[in-house]
Amino acid sequence: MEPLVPGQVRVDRLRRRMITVQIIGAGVIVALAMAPYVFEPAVTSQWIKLFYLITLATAWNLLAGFAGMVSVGQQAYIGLGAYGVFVFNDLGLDPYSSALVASVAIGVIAFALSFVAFRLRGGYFAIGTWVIAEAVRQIVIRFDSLGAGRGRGIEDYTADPVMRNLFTYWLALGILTATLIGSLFLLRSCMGVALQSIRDNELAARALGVDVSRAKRIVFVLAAVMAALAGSVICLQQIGVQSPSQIFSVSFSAFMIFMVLIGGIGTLEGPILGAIIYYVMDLWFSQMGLWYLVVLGVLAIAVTLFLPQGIWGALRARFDITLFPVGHRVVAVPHPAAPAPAAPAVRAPDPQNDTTAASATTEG
Amino acid sequence: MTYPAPFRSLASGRRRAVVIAASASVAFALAACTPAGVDDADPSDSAAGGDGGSGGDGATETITIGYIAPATGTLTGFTDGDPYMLSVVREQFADGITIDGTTYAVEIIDRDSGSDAAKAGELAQELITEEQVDLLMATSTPETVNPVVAQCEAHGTPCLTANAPWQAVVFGGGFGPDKPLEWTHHFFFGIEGFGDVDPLAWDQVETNKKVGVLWPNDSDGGAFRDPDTGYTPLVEAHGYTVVDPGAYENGTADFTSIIQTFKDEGVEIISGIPIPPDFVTFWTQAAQQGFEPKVATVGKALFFPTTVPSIPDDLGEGLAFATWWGPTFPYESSFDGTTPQEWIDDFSASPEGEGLVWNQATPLNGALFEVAKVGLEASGDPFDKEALVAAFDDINMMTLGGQIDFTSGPFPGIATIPTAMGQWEKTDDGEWEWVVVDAGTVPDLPVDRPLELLEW
Repeated sequence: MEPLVPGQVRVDRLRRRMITVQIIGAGVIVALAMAPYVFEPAVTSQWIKLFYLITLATAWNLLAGFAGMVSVGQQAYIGLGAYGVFVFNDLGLDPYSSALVASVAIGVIAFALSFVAFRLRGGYFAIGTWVIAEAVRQIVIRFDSLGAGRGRGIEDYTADPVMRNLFTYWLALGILTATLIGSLFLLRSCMGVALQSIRDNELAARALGVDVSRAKRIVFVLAAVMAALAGSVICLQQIGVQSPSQIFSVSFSAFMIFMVLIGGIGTLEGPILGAIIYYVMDLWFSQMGLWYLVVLGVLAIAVTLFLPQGIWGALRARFDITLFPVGHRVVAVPHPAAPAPAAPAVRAPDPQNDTTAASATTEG
Repeated sequence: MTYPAPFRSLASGRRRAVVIAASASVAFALAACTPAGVDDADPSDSAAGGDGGSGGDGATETITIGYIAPATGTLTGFTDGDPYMLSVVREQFADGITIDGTTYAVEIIDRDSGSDAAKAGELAQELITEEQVDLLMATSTPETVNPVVAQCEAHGTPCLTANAPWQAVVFGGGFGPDKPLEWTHHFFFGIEGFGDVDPLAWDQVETNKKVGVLWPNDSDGGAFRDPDTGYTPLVEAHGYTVVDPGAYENGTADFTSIIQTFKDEGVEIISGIPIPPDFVTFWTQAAQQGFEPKVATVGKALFFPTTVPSIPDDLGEGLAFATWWGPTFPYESSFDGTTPQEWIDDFSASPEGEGLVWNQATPLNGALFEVAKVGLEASGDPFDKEALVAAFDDINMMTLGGQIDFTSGPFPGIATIPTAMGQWEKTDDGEWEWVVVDAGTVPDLPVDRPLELLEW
């Protein structure tokens, strides 16, 4: 077996699999985008919630799972995203453009807030983000034009319910797609390697020359933008904000944490799986009253105790499956110059014995 | 975080297969999610669901009514009588209803909003788009009613709601003279039910006519605070002045500054619509800090029988509140003529009512179904949405919850019910009960005794 000698290895970013994923992913997205033509709009509008749940879970996972920032204040950006729709709608934009413009504005706000939040670490960071979210809510409900504590409806809105559902569906799907593609490419980029190193050991990453705070800040802003977009979808689907305390509710953070922990933190697939599980449970069991919350709690406890890597983490450890190739592995390059009497022309590493290659593998 | 090395790395071909299989399973999971909402409904839905219509064709003529209420969560007090109420209503509708000689089966789909505004909106959307309800009903606080109204107005679905101040529903939901309610009918009293009735009770006693108000920063508080359509102009017309210490957040733990403001202003009357826990906090702290108003007429917090007994040291003695329903109210059910006293007796004797005390919200929730029945019968065709909405416009009927009159409401689609003034007292055997101290705007309501001052 060939040892890994500098100059005789290459880094395999799993390009072939990435191409496969891109093709399949594009197919799935196109299929989902066409779904309203096949199913009734009533059916597809039910998926809007799933889409924004996946978006939220992915955003939180980027924060906590990759950049090591456990935030319980993402509802600040969800709420701002929802209220941003009103602000830009009042300025004359249609609600859908408002959602997009608002998310950019909220990215700027999040950038500014990051300087406050990043002064704190760990548990203090978590509490700090919560405090920021609460402060944001308090400020927003001071504005009478935004309905103060009463909430507000979207006034200028497409009258046709079918078209509105369709547009909201496509917006939600577009946001989901952008989130997943953005995360995938972010994690495959140089930045992604930096983030995964921060996740594994922030101090070591810093020692290796990774610009930790820059990487974190980028993720913080991106996660805020994603949350804002999800918030605007919630606002559009609810035709307004019915209760400010609801849209700024910390329970959003609780559900994000739930979805990510259940699915598997630190993987791209986990939050998707977690969101689907939560969505299905919500659909089937939420009419069970209080027992529903008990079931959710028991599930969360069981998964944390017995599958600490989450369901997807457990699946991956068991079956070695990955949907999104964000890792890389170092493989030896066979080179003709070296004397290789024992292994003549081994082009493909032997899957059974290729322990060196395997141990150099990282998975996102 | 460490990641164990995989046991063995698989050949890339096999990995690809796994990738494809897994993506397929995700797609499958997505697809599998879809019919889930339908599963827990009933078979009749699938017949109606296929054609995208309102479920009106074919042999099964079933009228589907959706009912969204906060059965769990912080607003449970409004709905703890609903299991009994729904059993009575389902019995009434068991044989269907007859409209122009055709008998239709009636299916009631009740859903729990969990006291969450977003959930209420989601459920409304689900009931409208998936269950294709012919009529959607919602009850109890603007947090439940407004999201449902928003969805109904947006989807063009007939909607009937109750148990929320109508100003919070109309103005809070962004409706108004320029943008009337097109699909919704709502009945309940509004701010005038407090602002016109509270002064009648205050007039019975000698005060300095200064009213301190507790208006939180929420839907109700915002509606009460509105300078034009709110509470202030109503009581000022009776010669009272309002002292508003400003909006506070629900869940406030310290009312010291508010109490100090009331003391500084020499307030002798307390009014407002705090949520129950906040009022208990406020009232306890007021007693501790030596603030001793003569009269307290408090909405919302005192509507339910559990709040007053929970105030420590019997401080709940003598608290008054605007009430819309009680055992002596001259109402009767349009279903079978049940009177309030009979309803209370039946409720207490029923298995659903075991361990519960009757409350005022349940009969109005039930009145939704009474109005729905009459409206459906008058529509001629229950699946004609416009006809159904138009039929509600003409309703003027007596229900167990009171006289519901959409023909003369303050705003199109709104019917108001009258209110009276009740005062809590502790009976000699230690039970809490309230008695009518002013008939307010309720016609023919016997008054038990005059309003008594608070004793400190």
